[in-house]
Amino acid sequence: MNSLRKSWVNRFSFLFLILFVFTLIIPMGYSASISLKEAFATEAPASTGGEHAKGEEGKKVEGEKSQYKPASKLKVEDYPIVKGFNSRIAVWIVAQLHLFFGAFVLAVPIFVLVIEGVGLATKDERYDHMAHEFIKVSMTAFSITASLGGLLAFMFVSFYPDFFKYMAGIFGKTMIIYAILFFGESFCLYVYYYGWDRLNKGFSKWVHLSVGLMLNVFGMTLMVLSNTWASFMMAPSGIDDSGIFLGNIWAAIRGPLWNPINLHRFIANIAFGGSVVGAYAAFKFLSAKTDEEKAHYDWMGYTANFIAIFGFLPLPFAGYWLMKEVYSYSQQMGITAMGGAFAWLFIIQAVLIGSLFLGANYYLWCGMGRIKGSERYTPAIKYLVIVIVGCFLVWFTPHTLIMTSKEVTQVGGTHHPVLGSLGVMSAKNTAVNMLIVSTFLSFMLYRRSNKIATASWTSTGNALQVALFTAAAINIVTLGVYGYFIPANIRIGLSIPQVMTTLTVIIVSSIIDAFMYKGAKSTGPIEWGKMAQRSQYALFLLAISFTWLMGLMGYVRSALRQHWHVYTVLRDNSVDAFTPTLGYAATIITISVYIFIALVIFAFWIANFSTKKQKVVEASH
Amino acid sequence: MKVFVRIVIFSIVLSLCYWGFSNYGIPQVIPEPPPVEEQISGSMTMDQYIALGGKIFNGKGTCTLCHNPVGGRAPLLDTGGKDGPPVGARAADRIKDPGYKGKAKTAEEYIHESEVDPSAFVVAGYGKPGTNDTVSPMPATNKGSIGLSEAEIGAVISYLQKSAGVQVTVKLPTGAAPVAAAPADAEPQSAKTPEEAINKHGCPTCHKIPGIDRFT
Repeated sequence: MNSLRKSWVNRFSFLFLILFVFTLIIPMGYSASISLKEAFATEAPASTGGEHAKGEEGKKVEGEKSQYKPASKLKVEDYPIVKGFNSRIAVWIVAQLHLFFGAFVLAVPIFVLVIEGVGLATKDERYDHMAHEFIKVSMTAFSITASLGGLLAFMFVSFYPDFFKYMAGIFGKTMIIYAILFFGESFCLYVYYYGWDRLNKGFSKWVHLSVGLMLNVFGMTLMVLSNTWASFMMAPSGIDDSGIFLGNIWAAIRGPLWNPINLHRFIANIAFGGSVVGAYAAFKFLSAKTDEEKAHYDWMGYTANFIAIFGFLPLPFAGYWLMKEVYSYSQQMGITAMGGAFAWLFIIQAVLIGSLFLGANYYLWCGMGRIKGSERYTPAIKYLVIVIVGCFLVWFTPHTLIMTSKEVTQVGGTHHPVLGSLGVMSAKNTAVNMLIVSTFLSFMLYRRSNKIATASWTSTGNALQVALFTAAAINIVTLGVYGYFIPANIRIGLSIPQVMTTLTVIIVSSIIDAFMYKGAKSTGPIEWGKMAQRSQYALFLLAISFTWLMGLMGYVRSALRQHWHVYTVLRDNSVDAFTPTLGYAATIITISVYIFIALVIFAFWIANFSTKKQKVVEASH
Repeated sequence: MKVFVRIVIFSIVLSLCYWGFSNYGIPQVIPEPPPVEEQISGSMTMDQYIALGGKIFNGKGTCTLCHNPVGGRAPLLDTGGKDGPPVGARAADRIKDPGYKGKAKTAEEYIHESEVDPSAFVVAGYGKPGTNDTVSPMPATNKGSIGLSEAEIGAVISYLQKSAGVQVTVKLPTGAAPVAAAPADAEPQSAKTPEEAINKHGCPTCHKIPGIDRFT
């Protein structure tokens, strides 16, 4: 009987696998057929310069009288007014909330799949339970994301009908694909979550992992597809100067900022998702009644923090690439961002990122307290504090100071005679690279806390690592200083060797550590749960700061378009076309963050509610 | 419940700190409003036309984003610098440059060409990286996000010629064609005394002026 049942489960699982492959292939195939057909129709490249793509296909379409219309020249009366609503603020908040939740529900399945895979590989069920709990937390968030997406679409149609019409005229096909993919994602998510216990052994587990993979494939495709709309609005391609679509959807998708935004969002989502589940774990830790619960949520919090930092460390590099491409697309847009009206925004960003680095490191240092053997490394913490705080202060130093005219006279200029030199990119790039290297060092010390390397070449390995870190610090600082003596347009290129140095340290040190600590002697187990309560607030700090940072950077990315719905093509002529002050933007961001926190608490409460009910049922049995 | 309240308070206060810093810790720069439609009157004098050119140069035209002495991203235009005298004065020499491949025959045409086809001649060292100074990173000012009209481009040329101290060769636009111009500023009020004028323009910020040691 059992073998018969097993055989049916296997067949059922196999059918499921095929079904999932098809659900993936159908929309992807449809998408690919459109893209490939149109891409191969012409060999015209997408725009990589400041002007719109206008290749051979453009001339052809122009010659044949295009079926597409130019972008409308809108007037104030073209924007419907709904009493009691400020269109821009309403769209701003709803779009931001949709992005918060979207980032969260796209990120969680990625690391859940990895954790589940680790559990399968190590045969440690704790990983499986943790992965299950992570995905449970995101279930309500998934529904909220979808609801907010629907609301946003309604708002575009209601408040900005001409803009939506123009976008739909170009991206209509991708919007249909988006809807199909969304169904596919929902289907996978529900099977993945509700089938967790059922598909948990043998071949079924592989089917479950495959469903998780499909879920992520759908999710990632959704993300890159929706990114095309945002990147098109910033740097349109595949259209002519009057905004007439040239007929090649692939050219419109493959704008100059599409891939930088894809990468930046992908990494940021992981960091953001990690920080939000970290906050969940911290809350559960602080409310835990038993030592077992504390131990579980402490471990969960540590893992979430690890995920957040893992995503956070490469994020500045992805940001550099994005800004480089922005400059490359339009120097005017790049300067507006970094040296114009938004220059002070990057000081707020420095405060937020500084808080994130301090919070993440503080959590790691607190965590060393629960590891026997970590005393060997605690003296190093004070030096790390000095470097991290120092770098934070450099990054935080503005180029120009806020002064009255009288003060300007007394100081002799708008730049501080000494500290003013720390306000330029050379100093800031140096600071951020040193921050990353220091945080990585903190993490290395944490990982080594309860281990004693037994490899015969340990002294050589350690010496090599010390040399590596020292050489990297010298190289990063020297490049930073050199930047003061060369022109601005060449200086920006120095960020690449600085970044490469940082990445080299991280990769080479990790490899050395992995071999050196293979079969290392343990000084004792990590005492999960024995963590100071204040350390949990560092996890909340990470979640709030990440959310705020995301709101801020979302604002600047969007605001760079200034008074354009679609940059240079479709002008915003509504009464709200002005670029607000940073204080105004901060108010909207804060409101969005508060609403997000409230909704996340609701999602956590729902997740907790079902657990309680489950426990009551288990107790009654 | 106590834990929950503590966490909520922590989250609210932390977010408020960021909000407070954004509002009170940094200057609230008010970005330029979007350019508005304006009429250029047929009876405009050359001085008014030149003044409009200056306004466009420093505003809607976004020229000073790059053409400024701080970033070193582009040659200075309305003042002299390491690239020579103001562009109004050096334009005539540019068209004699052996590397010049454009179509301009006069200084005025050269400046016009530089605005609508910036890659026609790229000053050495200011081209897009990797293009060997054959492609300019500057956008055409009559298209895209700047979108100056011919009358506005003429105004900018007249301003650049006037700044260089050379003869203004641009002709005044005729008729009353609507053009998008920079938003009109409030009419400046003349200072009543020399001290007031010096303080008003912030001269003592950099210059030591005998008898004037502080702002009034």
